[in-house]
Amino acid sequence: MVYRVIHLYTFAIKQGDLSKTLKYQLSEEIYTNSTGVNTIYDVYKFFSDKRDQRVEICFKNLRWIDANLCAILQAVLFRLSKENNLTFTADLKYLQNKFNILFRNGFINDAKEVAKKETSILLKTFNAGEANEFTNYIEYDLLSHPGMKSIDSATKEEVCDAMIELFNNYEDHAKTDYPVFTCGQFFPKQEKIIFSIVDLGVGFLPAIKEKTKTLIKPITNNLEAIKWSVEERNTTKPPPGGLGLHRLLNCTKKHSGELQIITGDTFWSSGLNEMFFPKKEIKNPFKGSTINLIFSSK
Amino acid sequence: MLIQVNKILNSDRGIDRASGQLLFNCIKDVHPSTLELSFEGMSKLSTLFLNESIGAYVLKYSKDLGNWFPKVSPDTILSHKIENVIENAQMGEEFDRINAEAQFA
Repeated sequence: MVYRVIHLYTFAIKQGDLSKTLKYQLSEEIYTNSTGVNTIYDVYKFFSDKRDQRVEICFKNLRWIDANLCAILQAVLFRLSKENNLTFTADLKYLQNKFNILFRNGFINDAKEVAKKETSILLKTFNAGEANEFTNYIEYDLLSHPGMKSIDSATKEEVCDAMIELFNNYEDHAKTDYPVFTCGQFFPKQEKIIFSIVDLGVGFLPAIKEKTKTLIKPITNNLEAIKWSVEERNTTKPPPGGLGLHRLLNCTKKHSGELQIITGDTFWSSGLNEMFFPKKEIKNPFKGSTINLIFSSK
Repeated sequence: MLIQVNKILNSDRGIDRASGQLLFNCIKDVHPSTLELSFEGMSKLSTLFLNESIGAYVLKYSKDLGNWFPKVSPDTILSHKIENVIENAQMGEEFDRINAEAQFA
């Protein structure tokens, strides 16, 4: 089964039972950190026991959202749409004025391409078997973005290669027919670029637990699984989480950035790790995994 | 027999399982003593692709391999990946086990 992004715009013109419309308020600020990810996963938790209804996502109390997080929000809405038959809508006129970025990056309209001067990296979905399309996107939309111009070509090549490994691993280990969701955003004032990649698979732990079950210390929780996946290793087969994560970690570090990995109940980041915080809790775990790459564009 | 990977794949990328299987099917009946496999002109190779193609080939001809090695520009990401896949295919699951135990020791 091949899925494409279902945009909020598409949701809005679907027919639903208006008498059953629920409203969900997004509020305050949603940044690329554990609080922001928890806020988006809470949307899933709130609707996970509801079915066959129409939902208005209200953005009026929201002051800010890092636009790269549209990958996570879209993944959440996608799962709720597919598995709970929920239909989503939003006040598009309000969004056009206050959150125009959501149109420009393809979250609401099916943006075909983004102008070079634009800060967005389009929201896209990629199904298993679309490694070529994924690679084109990484090369042209992410790595050729003006926000990446301070990154040297060797690092770009390394990032591209590692992202391909990551995508191959999603195909091998995620155990889902659902696509991968990707989106990025350049923040010129903060001089950084953030790229998010989300899958709706089983997460890191099941495959790593299985792979390590005969070891003296088998992996039994999400934090250990993430740490295992970012270690440098050499195996006959790409391990769950990929051969790419260790290299992505190095590339982000080299450019004063950060790697964040969220799976199960755990939010891990290279920044937290350096401060000796092992992890932050995801209070409403969402099945799948999210990787946020942050590069300094200085 | 010279086989150029980019011509078999009609692409400068080998990054998915299907391409790996396509290449393996082209080389599986050619003995290493007569196979000259060239990766020149390739820009991207993934471990999944290499495992499905030359990893499977090395496993099939493990006793006849000798010094067989594909043609590829040395000291590049691609050449290192090819070296790793060939080495790992020769070492097999035992290598994985020893390596994993060492990391947890």
